[in-house]
Amino acid sequence: MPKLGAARLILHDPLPGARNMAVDQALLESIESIGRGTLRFYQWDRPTLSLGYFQRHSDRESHATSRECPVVRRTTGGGAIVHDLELTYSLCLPRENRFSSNHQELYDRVHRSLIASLAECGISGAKLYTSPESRTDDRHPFLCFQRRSPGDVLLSGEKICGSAQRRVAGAILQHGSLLLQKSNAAPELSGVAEITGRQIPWQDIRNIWIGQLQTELNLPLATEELTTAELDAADRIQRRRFENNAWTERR
Amino acid sequence: MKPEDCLYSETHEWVFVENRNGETLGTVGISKFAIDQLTDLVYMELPQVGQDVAAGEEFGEVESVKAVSPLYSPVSGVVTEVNADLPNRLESLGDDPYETGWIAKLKISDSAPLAKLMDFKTYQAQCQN
Repeated sequence: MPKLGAARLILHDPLPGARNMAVDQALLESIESIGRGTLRFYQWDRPTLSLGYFQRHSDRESHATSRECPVVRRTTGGGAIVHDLELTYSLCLPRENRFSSNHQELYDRVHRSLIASLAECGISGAKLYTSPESRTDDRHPFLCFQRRSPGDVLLSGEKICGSAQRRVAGAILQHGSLLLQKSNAAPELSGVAEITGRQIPWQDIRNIWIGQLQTELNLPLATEELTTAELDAADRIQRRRFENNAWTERR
Repeated sequence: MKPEDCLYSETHEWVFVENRNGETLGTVGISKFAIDQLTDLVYMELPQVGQDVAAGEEFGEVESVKAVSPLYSPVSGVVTEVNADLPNRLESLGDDPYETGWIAKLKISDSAPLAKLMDFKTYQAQCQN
């Protein structure tokens, strides 16, 4: 992968789901004016269900333990995620060709940097899932973490990290979740804590992952805040899209 | 449609332009190159019949390997017909993206954006870069 140039690092405290998705979208839309990429780490202020862009809203009824969670529809693909005891990242990068095969490479590189970060924390054995995914259709499990796609991160056979993308002309957004610990809203999924029997502070993993991502992507990072224009855009996108039932229930 | 007879956008959509009864009509789709790059298309959202689109504007979306990509209209005009069955047989789209794989037909309202599109040979060169 060619050198991508310096990017911004943005660290956010836990936020509501609609806000988190609006900020990611604002970062994607500001790429052209900012002219460089952004890596963001964040969490969720309450257990929240996010639907993949093409999933049906009514399908959430099939998942009883998350029925009381607020729901947002992502702009990215894949299955539903219960965001609770997890660490979430988003990466927005300028791209010339949204159909480039490098996009699988981006999944792999970000996830490889996570595997190296876990090893640095003393957790070895995480690996990328490499078998080709069969065609996705309605028979797939509702939850992303019960699906397997090339590049997913597995630990002892359990999926602990998956990512999804939105590709637009000139830019790409990739965001993903590292499942740190089992959630009461999705008790069928084990996190790193249950699999390893160890509790690693999320700040430790995050800080190590930032360093590994810089190396893996050859992407120097400078900690910054959202610009005023991005904050305004996030406000608008949050109100019009992610808090809007017409968007959330569009399918 | 033969791929050699279509025009192409930088974002990998093709359009076959024809004049019929004094109107300029465009049939649009995604190029074979793009479909091959996307590898495993699982969902597609088509434009709406009657939708007014400008060249370069989003008019549909596809999902492949958890990645959602908008489709950009290569022309300006009104959608007159969509290939409604296409989202149900995406696995075969790569076999014939120019005949059975068309996405929508439009009545072109402004032919100026056509001048920005590439012919087949130029597009092929772009794909090889």
